[in-house]
Amino acid sequence: MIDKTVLYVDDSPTMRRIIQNALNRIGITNTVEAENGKDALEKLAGIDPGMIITDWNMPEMNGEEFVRTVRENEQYKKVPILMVTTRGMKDDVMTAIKLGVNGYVVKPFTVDVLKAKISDIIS
Amino acid sequence: MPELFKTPFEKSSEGDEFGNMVSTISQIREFFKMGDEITPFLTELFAFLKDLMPLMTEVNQSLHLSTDKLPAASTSISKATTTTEAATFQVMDKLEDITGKLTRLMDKQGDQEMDLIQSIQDDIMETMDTLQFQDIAAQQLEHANRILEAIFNRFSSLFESLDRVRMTSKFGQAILEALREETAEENFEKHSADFHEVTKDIIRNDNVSQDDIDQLFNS
Repeated sequence: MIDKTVLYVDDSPTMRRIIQNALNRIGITNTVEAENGKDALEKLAGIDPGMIITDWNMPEMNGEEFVRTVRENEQYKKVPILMVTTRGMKDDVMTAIKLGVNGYVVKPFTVDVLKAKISDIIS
Repeated sequence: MPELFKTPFEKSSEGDEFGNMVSTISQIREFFKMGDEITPFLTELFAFLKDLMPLMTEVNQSLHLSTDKLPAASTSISKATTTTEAATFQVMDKLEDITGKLTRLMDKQGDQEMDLIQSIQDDIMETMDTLQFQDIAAQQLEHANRILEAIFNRFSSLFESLDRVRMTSKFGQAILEALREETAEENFEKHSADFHEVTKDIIRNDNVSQDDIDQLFNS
């Protein structure tokens, strides 16, 4: 589905494991995990990202700041970003769109929804 | 006109001074009149404050006791998250273990059994996905925790200002000064804004549907 590395960012170990599991079932095995935006920026430097999946509410650096930083970087400007979060208000979605997020999924999600969103983004 | 026949008011500056004196006396009389009118109110107010002080002291002590318990409540909430996270991981380990055993079993079975085993594995994966509730519950607990912290900080700040009043108060003037400072519009607005910011609901219930989100992205 995606040849390059998928970076997923979530402060919850449970969610990271569920996302990892879901990605494997979709057929994505080249993955790297990070526990917040700051950690993700450090991990980004060492990979060739094909897509980023990120949570919103995280300590140290939240998803909003992380996406903004990524989009400001010329190197990662066009990397597809999927936001997976508990924040499901219209205002939140609008903010995400303005930030340059390509897809948005509200937790709890199913593998089918995640797969569909990933397909939408990479196509 | 000879000086002798002038009225006192026609005697230039002396007349002005007399006029001013009359005016001042009139103002003083008005002031005392207002004082007479306001005295019953002030007496009532002081009686009210006198009655209120023991009650306020009791409320203050109760709040102190309750506030002292807030950090413990906050710690309990954090522990609950850690415990549920560990339990969720144990469940996940078991589920993955079962999935592994089923995969090994597949090699030894016929097509019919393989379909059944595959179906069981799918069910297990779905069960694993539902464990997302742990993260969602943890975030809600974290939000409750932040509210507790904000309440604790707000009360702590209130107690500090009350202590300040006690230290400086020789009379109501000092109390009024402290109250005025605490309730100054800009302070009040700042405190309210800070409190609202910390306690605002990050996990709200009126979420939009996935279809709505998709429409927003396509619009």
